Amino acid sequence: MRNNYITLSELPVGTCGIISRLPYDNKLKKQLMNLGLICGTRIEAVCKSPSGNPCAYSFRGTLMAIRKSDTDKIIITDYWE
Amino acid sequence: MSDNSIKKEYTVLLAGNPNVGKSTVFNALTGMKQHTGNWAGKTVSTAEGSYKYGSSQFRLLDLPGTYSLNASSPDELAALNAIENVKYDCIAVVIDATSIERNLNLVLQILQITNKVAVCVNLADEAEKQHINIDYDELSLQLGVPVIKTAARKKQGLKKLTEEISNVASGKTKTYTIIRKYDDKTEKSIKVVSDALLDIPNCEKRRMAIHILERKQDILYDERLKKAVTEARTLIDGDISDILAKARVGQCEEIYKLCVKRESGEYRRRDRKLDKILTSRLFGIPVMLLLFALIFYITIVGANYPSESLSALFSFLGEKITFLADLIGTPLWLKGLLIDGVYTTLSNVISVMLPPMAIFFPLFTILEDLGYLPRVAFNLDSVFCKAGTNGKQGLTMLMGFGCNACGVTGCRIIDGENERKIAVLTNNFSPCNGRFPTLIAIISMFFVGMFPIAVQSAVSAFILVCIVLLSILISLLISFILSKTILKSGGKSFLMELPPYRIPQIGKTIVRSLLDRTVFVLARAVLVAIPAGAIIWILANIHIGSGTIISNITAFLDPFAKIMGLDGAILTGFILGFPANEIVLPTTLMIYLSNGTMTDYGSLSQLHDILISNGWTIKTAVCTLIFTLMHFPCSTTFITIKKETGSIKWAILSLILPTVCGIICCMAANLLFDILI
Repeated sequence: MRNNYITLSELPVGTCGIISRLPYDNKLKKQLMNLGLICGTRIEAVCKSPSGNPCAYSFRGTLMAIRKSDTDKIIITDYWE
Repeated sequence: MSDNSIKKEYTVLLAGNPNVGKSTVFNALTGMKQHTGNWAGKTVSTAEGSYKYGSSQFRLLDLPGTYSLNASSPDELAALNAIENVKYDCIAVVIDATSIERNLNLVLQILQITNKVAVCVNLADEAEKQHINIDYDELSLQLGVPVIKTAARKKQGLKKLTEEISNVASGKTKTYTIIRKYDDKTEKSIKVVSDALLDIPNCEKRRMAIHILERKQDILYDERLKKAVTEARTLIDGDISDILAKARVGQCEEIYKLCVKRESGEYRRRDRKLDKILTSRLFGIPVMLLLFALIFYITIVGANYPSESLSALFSFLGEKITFLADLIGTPLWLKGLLIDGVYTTLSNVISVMLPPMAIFFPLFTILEDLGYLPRVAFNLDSVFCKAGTNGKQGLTMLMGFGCNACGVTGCRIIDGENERKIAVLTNNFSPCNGRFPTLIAIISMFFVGMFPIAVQSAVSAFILVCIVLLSILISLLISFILSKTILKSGGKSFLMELPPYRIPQIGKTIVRSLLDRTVFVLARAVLVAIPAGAIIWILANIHIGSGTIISNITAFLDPFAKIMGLDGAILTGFILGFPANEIVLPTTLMIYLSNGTMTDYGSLSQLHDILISNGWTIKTAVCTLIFTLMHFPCSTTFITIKKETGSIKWAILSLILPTVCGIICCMAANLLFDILI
């Protein structure tokens, strides 16, 4: 386990991380929260689309496609294989 | 409570996340055939149905599938509005047994508004397969409302569900409001707001206060309440609505931990493996192209046989009708109008339109039910992102290849208002099933003759693929232009759930997609074909001056059509083909042969001879191809666009946009030919 802060978009496929900050953009933040994504949620990068963007993330039993422009704004910490 | 005080009619709202089988539950309860898809946001307008249980009648309203009640998308707004404004007796919340934690969020949000709730844990069979053990009694205890286990696709648990809904609605089953404590500061601010609420019963106050603080801060009219909310805000550092939303996620997690046990951590292993292939850099796009090529191939080839039999049947019936009409002495003009006009057009439209749609849409729906379509949107998103829209437009575009009217209706799945309009306006650039026969006929008559017979069909398939790719490119280009000008969009966030793969119920799928899409489009087409058939016959048979009306129109349009590389007859064919693209070529032939009735060609070589003798060259063929690809939508699509956008303005723009593109491209092609040859 490493103790760095990276953006969610930098999380390599197949690894998990813990959300440590949500975007400032209010609408996006609300949307994510209602899906159960808050600080402390465990999230896994599952697979990328053929072009690499968007990427599919799994959290709380759901698989969700999120664009890089959004995952750039989410900070995660404590990521591991 | 005595028996005669029981209400005879109850209203029940059906709420839930997308992809939880809500529509399946709705169908199973009401027996109404409303299409279900493995896709977010299927129910856009509230569907309504009813059923009987005991001696009472239940009116069931199906709300759009949403993740929350925040009113940040049209779906959420519709759901919230219904919950706030409809006088209901019970809300049945359908949740997915395989992802209870996320689904609980919506349940808790609804429980903030009312406790007249019954929770239906659907897809229980899937959960068992994945070794997810759910303690339904504990869940019911935690939520304070009845929880019913169902597998709606297998019709399991539905009886119990109707029973519990009835009990909650009639008050026979008492439901409880479970008070979940927040931290002290939040509790204080909730208290401030609930004290300011006057007109509602005490037991409702706390709930209402939380609801207001989370969602309604900015839309309050009551001065007293406004002041209370402002005061409540000052008690807290940070955004109160964020704190409440965040706390709720924690509550979901707590309830989930108490009620659900997963035996194996490696759930959905099969789905992951499939996704690794179907969305991979190497296979994602090729697999997708192959699948759709296969669907089109099956549609085009498979439709030929029923089309031929249908048209044989119609001409047989036509003879009999003519015979009958002669027998009862129908006047010649009436016979012409009804049989040569209305009947011929109608039978033409049905026999050409029905078979491909009846093949294409069930196949498409099977992919939809499998859960593959969201993956297609996922694969295509980056391309559409560059064009200022999102991957879901790719799907509506593909649907457009089946039928533009259906593609336009499909645009409901797109969230952003502007993105949705762009998808609606550009859908017509996808050549639909009605245009494919024309494209194929022209390609095989004019472009493959120089190749050896053995490879001719391969060459024509290749040209067809190029034309399809060209149409996609144009669609993207126009989307890009629209998103930069009148429908500013793009760069926006895009969240889309990739639901688990599910095995489709093939029999039901075929029946439903036939009923929902095919019959729907056919009905609209028939309604337009009847008057159009009459008009075409009148135009072709009433003489003014030297010729029929139609020949006058043809002569009038001819100079302009010539600039486009076409001729007057072709352009008139397109215009009179407004009811359905299928009749463009037959109408053009009718004009060439001055027949007075729509002509179906016997064989391609016969058709080729007629066209050549009327001055067709390679140039005419190319320009006709271009104009087939880009011209005004058919009347069915036009009506649908007007309905979907809710305004005549956008519908008219959808007429002008492709027509202007088509005219410009035809003129350019014409010019190019003149310069080069």
